[in-house]
Amino acid sequence: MNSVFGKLTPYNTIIHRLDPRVKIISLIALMVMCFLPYGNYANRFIILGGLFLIILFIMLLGRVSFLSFLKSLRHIWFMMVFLVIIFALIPQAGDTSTKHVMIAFENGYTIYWEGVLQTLHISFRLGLMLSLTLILTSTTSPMDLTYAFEWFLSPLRLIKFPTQIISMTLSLALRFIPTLLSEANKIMKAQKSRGVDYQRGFLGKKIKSVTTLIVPLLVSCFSRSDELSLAMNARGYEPYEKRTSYNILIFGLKDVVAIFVVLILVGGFSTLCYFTNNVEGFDDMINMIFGVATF
Amino acid sequence: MQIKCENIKYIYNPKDPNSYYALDDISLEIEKGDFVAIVGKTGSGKSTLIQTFNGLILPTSGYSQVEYFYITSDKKLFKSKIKNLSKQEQIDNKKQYMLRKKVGMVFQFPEYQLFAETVLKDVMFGPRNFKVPEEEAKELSKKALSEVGISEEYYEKSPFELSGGEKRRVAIAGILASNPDILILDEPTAGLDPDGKKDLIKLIKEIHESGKTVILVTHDMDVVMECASKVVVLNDAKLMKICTPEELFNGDDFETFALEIPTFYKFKKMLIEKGYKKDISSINDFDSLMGVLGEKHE
Repeated sequence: MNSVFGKLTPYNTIIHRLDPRVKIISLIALMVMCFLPYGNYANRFIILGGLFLIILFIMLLGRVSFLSFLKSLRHIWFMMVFLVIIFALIPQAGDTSTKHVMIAFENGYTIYWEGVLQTLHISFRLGLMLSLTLILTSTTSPMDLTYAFEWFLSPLRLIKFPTQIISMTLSLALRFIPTLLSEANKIMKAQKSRGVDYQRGFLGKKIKSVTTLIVPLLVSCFSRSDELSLAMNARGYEPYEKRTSYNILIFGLKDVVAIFVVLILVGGFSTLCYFTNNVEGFDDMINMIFGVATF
Repeated sequence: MQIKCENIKYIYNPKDPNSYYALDDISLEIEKGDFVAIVGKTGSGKSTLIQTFNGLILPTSGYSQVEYFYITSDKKLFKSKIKNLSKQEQIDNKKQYMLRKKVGMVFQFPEYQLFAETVLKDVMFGPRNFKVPEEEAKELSKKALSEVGISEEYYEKSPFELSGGEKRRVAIAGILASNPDILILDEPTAGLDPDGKKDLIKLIKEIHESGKTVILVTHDMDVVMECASKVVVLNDAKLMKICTPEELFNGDDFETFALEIPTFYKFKKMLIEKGYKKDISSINDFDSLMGVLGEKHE
């Protein structure tokens, strides 16, 4: 089953070996870099293009399949179409005198370059976010992610927040995703054998088809969770007891280097953001170097 | 020949470091009216193989054939195979909808597929999908339910109120109601109590006696010995042997396939080891063996 998020690929690359906490922090930092304002559209595309190249390099290091990235992009098509409708096709409100006309129709309706570029810009940012998430999920096991979240939540213990229960719930939920997917797959096959077609048909038929999947899946889900809670009780699980962990996350030299690299990137992109917004003539310099029209 | 597999291979997770062959170059033929048992240790490819028979899984290379239906992911091969068929058969092949009607598949723990509000509605679901008119579907469903021993008082009950064994029988009725020519069962007796198991085996035998081809995936060698006319042995995705149950259980290589010895053969082996004098090596059923043992006492 395809998903926006990747499936862990069992390689042993440097990215796989990084501490999950470092990966999560880096992911957040690089995502913020995607959303900084980099001046005019030409600047934005060039700088985000640079960021994309860096992400591609990380993907290469982590042996994350580029094909799976392209596949995950399929899931944002709907969003892109929606954005096109919002930014390019809906008439622009307010002062349009400073905007650049792309197509002017006879009835007075106009599509502006700004609208199209805005759509492309947002889609580009979303694509970058997706690729970053894909790197994290393709190179980190769900259990490692849970340990990292538990670590991030640990300060909340001071105010008696039940972080261990939350992380146990999270790890159980993550643990059961593949089980539920395989269960769903089995049920789908069983229903297909009874003539259900999940691919074809109109909305009504599709909703009916999905019912044949959802009802048995929910029943099995509840029965599994029931069995699991009984099994946990039988093995003496006590949610409010102090717990130790079998897996201890260790922050090593490679993690320090990774944090250092991310800090350099954050510094670099923040500087670019500052220059594009506050230093006069910087836009023209970009224009001069790349020969692109800036607006 | 009703079912044929020609050099089929199936790879799980291709292009992934975890990819592996679930089926590796399997070729076999099954005749109409056969009772075939597919055996092998866990992970040997049994369930994958049967799923190629009704198009739930398309072989990565090679093809499975069920009457005029061709099942393969090799588009070129598929086109070349169906080009000489009639127009209707070509359409059927492309939709593979009729194939599902022809080949009924009962999965392991089929009770998990139940979803409708009432038992009768759930059983009618299959025939209705195959465009059987409502009244006829109702009749077929009632017939299937009576075949599996579910009485009329259950028809309007929710399937979720039933016991485990009853649920399973309802799920099997859901497949039988579509009246398939070929019935495939994937470990149907798993998790049933001895009585439930006995009843189910009796039912499967009756279905076979009614003229249907039955394919059974099982780990229970007593069932294989009792029911099957042909055994297909798989091991590590490869076809090891196609033979009769007698040939398999009397053979030397039986233990290499990690299969359990049926009770009868365990008993026969024990007699020979304990020094029973008469030649009982060619005896393959309890009745004949009891006859020979009786002779000794006289």
